[in-house]
Formats: sequence, C-alpha cells, structure tokens
Amino acid sequence: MTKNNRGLSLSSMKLGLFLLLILGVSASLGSLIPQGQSGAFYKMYYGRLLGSLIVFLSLDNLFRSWWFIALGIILAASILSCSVQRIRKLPGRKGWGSILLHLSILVVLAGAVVSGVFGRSAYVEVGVGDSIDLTGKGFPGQVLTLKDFNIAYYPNLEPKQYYSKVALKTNDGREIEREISVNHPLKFKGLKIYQTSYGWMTRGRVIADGEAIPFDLESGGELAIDQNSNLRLKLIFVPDFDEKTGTLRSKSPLPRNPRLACALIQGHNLIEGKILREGETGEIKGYRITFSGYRYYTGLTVKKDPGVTIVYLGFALILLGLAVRYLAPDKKRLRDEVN
Amino acid sequence: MEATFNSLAYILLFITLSLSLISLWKPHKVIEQISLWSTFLAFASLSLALIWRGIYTGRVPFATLYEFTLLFAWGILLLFFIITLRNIKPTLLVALVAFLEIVILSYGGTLSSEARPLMPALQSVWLELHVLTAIIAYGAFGLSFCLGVLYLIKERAGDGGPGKSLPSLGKLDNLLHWSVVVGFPFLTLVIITGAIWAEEVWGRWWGWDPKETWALITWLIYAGYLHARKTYGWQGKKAAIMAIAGFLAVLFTLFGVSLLLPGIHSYV
Repeated sequence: MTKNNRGLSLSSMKLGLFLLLILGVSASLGSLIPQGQSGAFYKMYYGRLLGSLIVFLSLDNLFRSWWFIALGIILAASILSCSVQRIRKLPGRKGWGSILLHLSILVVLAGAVVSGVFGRSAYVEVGVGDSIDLTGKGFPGQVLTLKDFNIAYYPNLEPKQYYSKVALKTNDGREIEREISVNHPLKFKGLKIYQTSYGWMTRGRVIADGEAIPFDLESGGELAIDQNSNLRLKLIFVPDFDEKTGTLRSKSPLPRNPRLACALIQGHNLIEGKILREGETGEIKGYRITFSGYRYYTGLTVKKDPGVTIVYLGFALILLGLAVRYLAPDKKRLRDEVN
Repeated sequence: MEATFNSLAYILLFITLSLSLISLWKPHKVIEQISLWSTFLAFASLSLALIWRGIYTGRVPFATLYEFTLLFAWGILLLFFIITLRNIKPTLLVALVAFLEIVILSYGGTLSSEARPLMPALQSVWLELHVLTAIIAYGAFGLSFCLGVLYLIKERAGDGGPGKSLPSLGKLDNLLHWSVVVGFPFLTLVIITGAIWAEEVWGRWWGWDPKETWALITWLIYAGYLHARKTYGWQGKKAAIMAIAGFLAVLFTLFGVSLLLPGIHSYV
C-alpha cells in the first residue's frame, strides 16, 4: 500500500488501516452480542430501543450481514489494488514475499466466498444396521449404512475415541467401507463425513386398546399413545442401572445392566413410570409395554465444500510468502537493531 | 513434583522481582546478576514442571487452559532470554517480565490443574502445532508489551529515575518492532493450524467462534501496527500503545473469552 495523503484512493494505506480498524471493531461486536437469536430476545435483553437498533443494523447476524461482507470486499479490493501498484515498481526479494503474502490472503477470502456459496452440510443420525438415503439432505444418490459403532474408553471411563464403521454407496454405483472417528473424517471425492454425536436407541412395542404400536426410538424420545388426550410414553435408556439407588443416573456409560425407563405422560404431568429389563413386559395403566432390545446410533455431519481446497491453497501460499518475506537474509536490519 | 517445580518457579520469580526492584533503587552489578540467574532458574523450573506433567499424563501438556497458562508464561521467558542474548537486559525489563510472569502464574493457580486424559477432539497433530506456534507468538507479544510499557516510561522519565537503566528510545522501539515481527508470522500460523484442525474435527475451518474471532482481532491489530509503522513511520509512542493494545487483545483471547464468552473452545 502506498502513503497517500491526498485522499482515500483504493490503494491508500489510510483506507487500509481504517478497514482493519472497522473490521476489528465489528468483529468484537459480533463476539460480544449473542448471534442468531430472535428479534424478541434482543428487545428483552437490551431494551426496546437498543434491541431494535441491533436488529436494524444486522448486529444479530453480523458476520453474514451485507455491510460486513461489503467491508471484506473493499479490503480485498484495497489489498489487490496496492499489490498491483507494488508489482509495477519491481520489488526486491522481500517485496515479492510481502506481495505474495497479501495476494494469498485474497486467495483465502476467495475460498471463503466459495465455501459460503457452494458449501453444503447436513447432520444425520443413523442406528447401527440402518441405512439413510442422503438425497433428501442435499447429497443426491448417496446411501449411507452404519455397520457398527463403538466407543473406546480410558481406564477412568472417560471417552477416548468414537468409531463409526460405515458403508457409502455413491451415485456411480460404487460402495466403499470406512471407519470414521473424531479428527479422522471419511473423505471421498470431495464428500466428507464427520463423527459428531452418538446415543442409544431402544426397540419394543406398546399394546394400547388391543392395538400394537411398535417403537424404535432414540433414548429420551416420546411415543404418542393417544393424540386426543395428549397421552405420550417417554422412553429413556439407562445402560448401567444402579439397583441400590434406583435412579435413572447410569453408573457407567457401558451397557452392563441395561434398563428401559418408561413414563406415561399427559400434557406436562407424569402419570406413572416403570423400569423394564431387556425382554421384559410391564404394564402401566393397562398399556402393556415390551422392551425387546437396544443399540447405538451415531450422529454424523455430511459435508461438501469446494471452498476448502482454495482456502488451503491460500494457506500454503501464506507460508511461502512468510518464508520469502521473513527468512530472507537482511544484514542491514540486524545491524540496525543491535546498534 | 509438578506442583513443587511450579512453586519453585513462582518463588524464584518473586526473588527476581524483589532483587531487580532493589537494584533499581540502588544499582548494583552483583544483585542484577543474581536476579537474572534467578529468572533463568525459574524458567528451568517451569520447564521441569511441564515435562513432569507430560510424563505423568502420558501426553504433551497442551490440552487445558491451566496447561496453556504455564506454556504462555514459559514462552514469554523464552523470548526474554533470546533478547538478553543480544546483551539487552535492563533491570526495569527484568522487573516487568517477572511481574507479568507472577500475574500469569497466579491466574494459572486459580485454574483446575486436574490431569485428565485427552478427549477425542484434542487428539490431533494440528492441535499440537496450533499450541506450539501459539507459545512463540504469545511469548513474543508478551515481550513486546513489556517493551511498549518501558518505552512509555522512558519517554516520561528520560535518562533520570526509572529511565536510567533503560536503553535509548530508538533502541526500545526497534526491539519492540523485532518482537512483533517475530510474533506476527507465528500468530498467522496459529490461526492457520487452528483452521485446519477445526476443518478436520468439526468440518468447518472458520466459524466465528469467539476465540477465533478474537485471534483474528489480535491479528488485525498487529497487522495495523506493522503497516502503520512501515508506511507512516508510526514509531515511538503510537507504536508502543498499539503493541500494548495488541497484547490486551491476546489476554482477552486467552482468558477473557474463556471466562465471558464460552464457545466451542470451552475446554481451553
């Protein structure tokens, strides 16, 4: 960038520094004001006037607001314009390093734009043995099957790693099998699948008014028994039931003493609860409930983002630029500092 | 053992601080020498505490805020020793570094030092590089903060009083610039390694999480420092104030965000 006192041309350092300041201040506002809440939230939390102002200026969604993105674009234009000016002046080795550094930031920003426009991401949950068609999630023709899920523990029973063994059938008819774990996503032709979450599912049935209602639900889920009277059955899985206390708090995360806790609920009121062993059938208010089995489900994030390659290219260029800029021998500067 | 080495480092830093304050009042070569040695022993002791923790937990001590607080203190001392190698060791700098170290370690003492095994998200070589580069970057910024404060003191006091032991304003400004020039590329690496790690673990390389946002704000401040100095010749007082502001942003990124704005970095 050039020193330019006459006015604010795009390549002037005055504009550049001003943009750094404004971006810094805006980003700090974005980190201090809670993002993505409802309009009512801001009015309640900040008062009517300030709350309305926050929504009006898009401070509630600052990093995606038109003016924040516009600031980014102006910064990019400013960096580009002054890099071009510097190239014209035939810089030395350090100068080239510095220009490369500035241009690589533009590559990262371009990658961010591609990420924002073309990136797609979806969260899915699959039980062990189940398959899910990802077409409805924006990944046409891909079918994901969870072959197995397990957790490795440390001796103190804190989790060490989560493993999902999956098979992925792609739209060209190929099928691949991979193991996904945290920090080791599946990568296949631009598609990435991440280990994100997990939980338990239980299976069984309820006989209500002579009619059998089968269930296969995540722990904590509810089964509608009677829509008209808002009667529901809440099902909670306890992997390691504590016989002594009888509470629903599992003694360990391992399925050492599995139970299904069933609670009949109407509206907000608990009517009656019962705890069942695997294979057992119990009765609550005439409803016969059978707990036939349990299994894990895994939570996976499926993602396709062509921007990441561009961003990584930008990162590589930044490293190169830093090396050329700062690792270049410069005897004069060293001498200046010591003296 | 770890606690013993930590306490030892803490005591040695207190000795450094007291001795350097004494020699500010009545300059004495031997006292100055002892206070420097005491700083060096504190550094060694802190290193042993970290190594011991690494052996005890069976992993690099890069996982909790407590561990990073120790590493942060370690990094500032490391950068301090690098500039003392250039024969720059004014007593007031020694006193200020010791004071900053005592503040950081005291804060570290309030954090949970429980040695827990590494959770799955933290098992990544990118995290290790992220922390390693952060030690250097934040160590250099800690040093530049001290130099910025010294600059302001020297400017007010001149060659008398507390300014007596200090090098010239020009030299202080150059040293300050040197430490920012060391810190800035490393901060860039901190952000890059953090982005790659986030992409591998969560599938998003940038998410405007408060910690990420504040690392970027810090980067913008130091980028402003470097550009203003180069183009407008912002040296001296303005530059010193920017370096101090930059370090306040570092402190907010490390501690303020963890306390006030919990996000995805909630474990550090």
